[in-house]
Amino acid sequence: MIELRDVTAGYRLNPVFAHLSLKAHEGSFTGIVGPTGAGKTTLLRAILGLIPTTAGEVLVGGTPLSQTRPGLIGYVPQAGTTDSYFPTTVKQIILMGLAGVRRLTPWASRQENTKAEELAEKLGITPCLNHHISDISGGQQQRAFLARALIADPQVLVLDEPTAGVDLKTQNHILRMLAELNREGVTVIMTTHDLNAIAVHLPRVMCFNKGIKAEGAPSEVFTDDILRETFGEELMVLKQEHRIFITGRNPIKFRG
Amino acid sequence: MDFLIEPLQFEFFRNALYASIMVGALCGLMGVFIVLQGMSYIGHGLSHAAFGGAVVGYLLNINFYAAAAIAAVFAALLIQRINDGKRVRSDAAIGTVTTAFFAIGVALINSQGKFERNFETALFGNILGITDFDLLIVGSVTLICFFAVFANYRGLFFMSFDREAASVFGVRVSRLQFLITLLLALCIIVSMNMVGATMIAAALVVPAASARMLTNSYNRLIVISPIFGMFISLVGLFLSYYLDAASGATIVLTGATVFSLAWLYRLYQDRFISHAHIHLHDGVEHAHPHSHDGDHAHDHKAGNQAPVHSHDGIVHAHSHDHDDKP
Repeated sequence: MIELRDVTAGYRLNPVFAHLSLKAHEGSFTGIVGPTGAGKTTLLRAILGLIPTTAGEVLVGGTPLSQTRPGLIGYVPQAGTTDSYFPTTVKQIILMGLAGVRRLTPWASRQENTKAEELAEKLGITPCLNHHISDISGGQQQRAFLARALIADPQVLVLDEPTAGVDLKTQNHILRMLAELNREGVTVIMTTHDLNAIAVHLPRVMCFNKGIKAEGAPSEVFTDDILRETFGEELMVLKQEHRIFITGRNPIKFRG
Repeated sequence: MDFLIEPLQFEFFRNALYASIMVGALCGLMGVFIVLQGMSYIGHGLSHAAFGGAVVGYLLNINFYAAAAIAAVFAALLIQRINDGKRVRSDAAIGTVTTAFFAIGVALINSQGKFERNFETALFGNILGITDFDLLIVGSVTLICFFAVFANYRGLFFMSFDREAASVFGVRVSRLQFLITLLLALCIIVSMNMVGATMIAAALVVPAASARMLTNSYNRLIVISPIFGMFISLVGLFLSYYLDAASGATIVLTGATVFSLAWLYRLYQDRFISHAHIHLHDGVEHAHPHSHDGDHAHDHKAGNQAPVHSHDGIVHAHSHDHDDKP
């Protein structure tokens, strides 16, 4: 569904990654993990066409990204990157997802309003539909952005750290939502820092640090060697009853 | 009421009245994008660039509006181009480019000695000198701007909120940014003779900033701001007539008064009028009105707005966390 062919991206004299090729098949769910500064966000931005690639091409369903229909890719930015004081309500945020669709009038149609309300219901944010964005919690904001990404029926969903800064309950809720969407056929690509709470539960992970270090199921990819190469840190992988835990090899000692 | 009707017997005042209504609405409309995109300084800068263009145009025998428009649009595109390089922020680019244009105008005025045309009008505004031709131009530009915003409303709204996400969702951000720049340049040029290059930034920003104090809704903001703009221009026009002062100054001072009142109203609302935050009680989201006292200490009101409340018919109170931001 998403294919990068020999892509180089980043700054002109200092590319973040070079000659990268990857494929995310239709209906797949991929989590990209890696340390801060590894280029995960740059990779997402290249997939979304937000940064010019200096070499190679990005294809969506075999079509160059620039020629795809508006709304084919849904995008959820990292929490805290938008202006919380912008004069907008949750419902208006959801309807923004249809801004690329040409309409003669600026207001939303009855059909579009109904769809926004149905998505809000599905994501559990109906009570805040008319609230200002700064009056809702971080988790609710993330769900509003997820609803915005879904309103144009995307075939691909790209999320930048969707579970960052939210509590465990909201993390699980978001992850369940994404899994459900994936079962419905949506291709999902997301970045995450959280190896234990998120990455180990995903069907496919990609260890990324200026390039792909490994990709596959967490049980195959999360090994001491691959994690050391990806994170530049001694990490230990514990496997117990089909569960994986990742922790630092050397315990940290505190005084008190 | 006589003081409102008396000046209307003069044609120049009637022209000024029509112009102030249109320019007020236009500046109010365009000001919304300026305020929301954090580019207040560009209004100031482009008016200075337009002034430089107008002087050059006068020497080359080119129409005032055409010369000012060419200079303003060229300056705006140059600023955007410099800004795209990301080496300098837009304020530095605006400061450099537009002041250079303004300096060309000033240098030409000085070197050429006496001018037949009085450029004081362009600098400080003279709404009482509006001609029928000016009205035609102002009316056309106002119609164009309102239509362009109406036709591109959704994209402009999304772009003002999150430019990057908007482009992912199919909004043609570069094209819309160019459109806004072009409309802004046109707005500044037609407003220059009324408000003056030196004070146009305030005429653009104040209606939208005042309206922002009163509403948290973009849809309402884009309606209230032009209304404020018209009101400010009309009051400023009458003050200019009766005080025999430059129209730019009276319009801006009226705007400053409106902004101060809106700001005081906002302070009063935030401090004394109760409002609701969303709370979580046992996972159930709800809100009840309360007032803030100080930074973020909460003072729940007595009576049925108190934190004493009922779940399943049992009246009780318990401490709880607010799931909101200070």
